[in-house]
Amino acid sequence: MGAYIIRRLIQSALLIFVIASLVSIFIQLLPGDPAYIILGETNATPERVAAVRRELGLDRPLLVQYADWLSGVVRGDLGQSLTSKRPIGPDLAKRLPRTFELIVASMTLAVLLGIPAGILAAKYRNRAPDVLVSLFSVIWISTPVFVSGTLLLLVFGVKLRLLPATGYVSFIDDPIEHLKRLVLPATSLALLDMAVILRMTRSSLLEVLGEDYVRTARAKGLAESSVLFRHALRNALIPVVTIVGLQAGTLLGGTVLIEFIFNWPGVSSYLISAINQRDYPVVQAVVLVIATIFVLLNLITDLIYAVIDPRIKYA
Amino acid sequence: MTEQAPAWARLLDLSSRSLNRRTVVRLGAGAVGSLAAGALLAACGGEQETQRESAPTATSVPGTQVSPTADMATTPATSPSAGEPVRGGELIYALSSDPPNLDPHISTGTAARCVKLQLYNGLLRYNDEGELLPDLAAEWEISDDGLQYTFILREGVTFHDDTPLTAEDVKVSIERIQDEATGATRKVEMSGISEITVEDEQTIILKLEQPHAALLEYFAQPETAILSKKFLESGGDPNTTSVGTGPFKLLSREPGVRIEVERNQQYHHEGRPHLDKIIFIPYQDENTRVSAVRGGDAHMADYVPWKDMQSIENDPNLRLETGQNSAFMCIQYNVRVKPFDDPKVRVALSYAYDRKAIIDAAFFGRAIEITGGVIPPQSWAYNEELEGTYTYDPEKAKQLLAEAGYANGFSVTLMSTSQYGMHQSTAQVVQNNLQAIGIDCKLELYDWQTVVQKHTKGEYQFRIHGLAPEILDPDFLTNFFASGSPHSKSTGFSDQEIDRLLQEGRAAQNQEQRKQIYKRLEQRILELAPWTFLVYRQDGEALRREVQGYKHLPGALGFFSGIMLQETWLQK
Repeated sequence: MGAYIIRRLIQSALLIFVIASLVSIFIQLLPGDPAYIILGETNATPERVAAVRRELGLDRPLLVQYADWLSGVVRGDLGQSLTSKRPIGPDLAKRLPRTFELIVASMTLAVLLGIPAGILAAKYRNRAPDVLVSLFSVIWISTPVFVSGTLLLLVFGVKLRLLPATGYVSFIDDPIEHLKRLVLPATSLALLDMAVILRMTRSSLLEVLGEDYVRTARAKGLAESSVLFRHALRNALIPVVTIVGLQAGTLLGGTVLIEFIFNWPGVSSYLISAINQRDYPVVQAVVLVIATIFVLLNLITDLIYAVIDPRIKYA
Repeated sequence: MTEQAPAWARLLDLSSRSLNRRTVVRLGAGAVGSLAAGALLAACGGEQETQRESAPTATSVPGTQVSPTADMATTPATSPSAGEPVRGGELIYALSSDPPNLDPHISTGTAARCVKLQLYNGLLRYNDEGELLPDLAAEWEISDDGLQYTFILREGVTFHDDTPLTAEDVKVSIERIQDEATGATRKVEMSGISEITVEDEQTIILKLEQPHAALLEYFAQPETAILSKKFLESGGDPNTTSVGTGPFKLLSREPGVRIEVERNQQYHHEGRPHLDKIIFIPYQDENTRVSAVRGGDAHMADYVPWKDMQSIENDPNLRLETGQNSAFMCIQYNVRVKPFDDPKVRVALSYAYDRKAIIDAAFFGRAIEITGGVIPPQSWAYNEELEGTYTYDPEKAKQLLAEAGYANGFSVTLMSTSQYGMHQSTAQVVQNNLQAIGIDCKLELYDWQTVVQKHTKGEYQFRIHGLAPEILDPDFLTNFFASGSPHSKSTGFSDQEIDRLLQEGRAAQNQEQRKQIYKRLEQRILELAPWTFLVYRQDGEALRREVQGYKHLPGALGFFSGIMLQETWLQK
């Protein structure tokens, strides 16, 4: 197990390195130039653009810039924003927990609603609860987050005024307001995952319920709840855990849209504005961090299998 | 933020009226459209198209001494408001883009300027009719030859750090703008000042090499704001922190999240500002920005999308502050490429565009046609006789095209951006219009940053642009049409006659004389048609009902409406 973890860690580090390198090189191949943003269109004479590029170090060969950036990253320095001139590390550190909070809240919501609903659907297969639950899951699976997000915002935020529509209040300033503003973005983000988890739980549980050992358990007279929860569910949850792990990555992608729609100041909105302004170091830093999180999530998912399913052994 | 109808009624209302399928699809498409662009690493920053100002009655009258009797605080007209202003309260302003920096000398668009107007003052300021009034300068005098400007500073003004304002601060600020290393927006204009002399604590004299009829106006813009010498010399960076003289002080800033400013207790206009605090929150998505005001998360929002203006006017809780702007949409031709090197072709095409269709498609009716020159109707230099020079007349366009030797049309590519709806819609109408007269027109839609870069490098055939005069004085035409101006560098256009008239207009001292010069100038521009002017658009801010005293300033002053925030108050 130890050797496996080390091997996976090395693989992960390599993967992150490759992603970071590709992004660093390709972002600069895009048309558009931060010097124009800094100067503004009417001021952007070729001489001034050249001067600003020199000042920002953008006139150096790409590989030199890349090496410079990499050596900074290794020393824990993510560089500074080209437009705001502020160091990126602290800004990113402020925003990262907000995105995490969004993901954790959505994940929790998705699991807490998805698994029980899946169990319900499996238990009452092809009967009313199953049909109802499945119907909802199909709807949510086929609804993109920007649609559900916009709908929730319009209905609960703008029309009914039950919850604040947009914005962010820090937890320290006002915990209640903070949580109120978390509800809509987290719910929009959770819906798709909830539906996926629900369907996975249902089909996996149905499969397990048909296994011989379940019949044996029933035959020896165990209570139905004991059969369902102690024997069947535990095995049925393995694929569900995989899905939850993989979905965590998708959620990270979903935050790009949700943070935009709800003006949630996390890393994803930081990334979008950086791309819009061609703020290369910020894009590089955020992608590096997101890639790292994604890769680590996958690693953790793999390791959790081993805990749940004793048959899985790693050499 | 009160809403009387019960929840269920509002929901019914929602399902029956506003939430039809199209609304949802459009909202969704809008969100994913902008985001897809971002995700493909192909989007762009804020509303940074060069949006500045132009319009009426401002010209420097040499030899006149202005000693104000009325203080600024009394001048701006109060907007449709109920009762007396209430002191106190926090206003939340949903801004269309996050100010990339706070340095007042470097302009990065109207949203950023709105914040800077709270923190800083210039020597002068505009009132809501475009007249120049004293601000940090209590009075000023211009010598008869127009070469010497004397400013006497207002007494008792202090910076936010309690240091008193002196002539030295003015000197340091102008020198900072002149310094190439600053990258200041008004470097060219301020470089015309060859000598700065501090007479005494309160008096400063500026000497020019050549008269510049519009120079005074630049002192009313935040891009020439007065910074503190002490602050600058102690290594302060105005990009990240702020020590100004403005109605509000910078309290905190987290880029992309919020900027908070609080009342300056020592503000030199008595009784202003009314508000205790303003919180600026950038909203990148225009739909979210509008939702924030609708839902009560913000008191007001700038740059209301044209599609939403009607519904905001219909909402009993909201108010739309709008006015005819002098910002305009136009077509710029790259005169280096065929067939646009031929003025006859440019003139012919100027008859081909259906400006009414553009007004409907891009601005939902909230724009007016430009059929003559581009000096706006609010200006003293406006040329009414030129109205109707270019109307929509496809037959005439075809005929003129044939006379120019292009009876069978030609193939061209039009550059525009998909990032701003009004640019894209305008381009689509233009494309249709040209196809209708037998021209094969392809459309290239890029993200804004790419357009800016291609524009600067001259890598396009013709393009849609949204611009605004930078000052009220007709001298704004210099930045657009003089040889060597950034726009001329981009389009490759230059004309000696135009250059000469621009020079004359700037040097002439008499307004009537100048009016004649600008008339000839505009005629010449229309004859050569290096650009085709299309429409003036209307911009607007959305306000919740309780916001009082704010007003969208008319004409070119629209981009200075942020100045009204010191007059703004919240009804309890």
